[in-house]
Amino acid sequence: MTADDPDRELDPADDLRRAWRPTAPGEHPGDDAWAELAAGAMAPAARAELAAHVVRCRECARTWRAITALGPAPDAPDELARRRGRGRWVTMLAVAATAAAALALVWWRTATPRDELDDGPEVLRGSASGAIEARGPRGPVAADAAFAWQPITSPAIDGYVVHVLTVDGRPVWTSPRVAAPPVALPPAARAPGRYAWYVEAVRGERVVAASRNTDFAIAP
Amino acid sequence: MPGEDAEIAALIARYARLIRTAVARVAGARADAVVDDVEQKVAIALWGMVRREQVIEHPASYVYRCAVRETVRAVRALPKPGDADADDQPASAPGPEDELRARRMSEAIDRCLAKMQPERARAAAAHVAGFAVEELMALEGWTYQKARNLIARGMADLRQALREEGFDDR
Repeated sequence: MTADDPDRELDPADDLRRAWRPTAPGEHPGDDAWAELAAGAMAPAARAELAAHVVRCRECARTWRAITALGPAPDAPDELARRRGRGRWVTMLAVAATAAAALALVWWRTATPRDELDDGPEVLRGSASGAIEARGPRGPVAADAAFAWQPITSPAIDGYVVHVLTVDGRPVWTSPRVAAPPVALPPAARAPGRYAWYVEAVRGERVVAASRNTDFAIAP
Repeated sequence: MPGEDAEIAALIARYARLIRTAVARVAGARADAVVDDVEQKVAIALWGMVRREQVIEHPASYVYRCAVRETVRAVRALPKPGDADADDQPASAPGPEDELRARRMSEAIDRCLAKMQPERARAAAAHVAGFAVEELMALEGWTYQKARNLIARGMADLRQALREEGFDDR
């Protein structure tokens, strides 16, 4: 295998992560810089400069992750999806699959505006490294459902933590660290209502991968 | 205009909820204590910005930019990473020798990154900082293939440079 092989195992860098205490170059980005970055309007050189700061500054990394969770700017191209270089036929299949899924879910979602239910950081979508594929619960489920996801094989992790939120983001429950799926629905999320959940893979206290938010509902 | 007001109200409500979710997510275990009033504060701030404008040509874009600013403010209001943060608490207290070695290694990592080809250095730095491949794609605007390759090559370069500085592998 070579460095060009996308399946090549990446160096876990655990020893370097423990040791490195970087000093962020320059000042924290201002509001305008964040807005430009989010809107995809930042010049490449400025973007590289901001990226160099963000990876060395935990506070700005957190800000960047939160802004990314807002999703792309209106009318801005979804650059991430475009850059994945999928062919047009793949895009059409994805659109068809999305439409089918939307039709299947529409009956339980009609009472809620679409925007209220749509969130999750774009950067964590997809199946590449860094993302966890959430399997369920999704949509209407029974109270004895369990959280399930595709375990990740890389990087090395200590376990998973499941978070349950209301659909508008209020924390409902956080699981203890578990080694593997499944995790039973907690009593707090068995009451009738709509919820969102996501799972994080953790090493030490660091989150190394996460799923997107997935909505589910417990019927009255 | 009533239609326009309704559109803006819907946008503000949407972004206030999104910002609350985003802040809850990055706040981690301390979310309960800090995000309860984020949604309301954000909505008030967004309305304030909207009302200051005479005419809003593109409400969706305008509210989005306001939402970005409010997200920055909401995250800055969280306790700083590292303040009583478990991330910074080692499992067992390191001795002075471990600490000295870690500090030397940290300085060596900085020196080695500074000598490397810039893109590889940025990829390796992001990887060591804990950024996932897809996060790096979004941050740098790289394709998946490019991000993976740069991390792999950057980490190989970094390891080699550290070996040359006397820091042997793991």
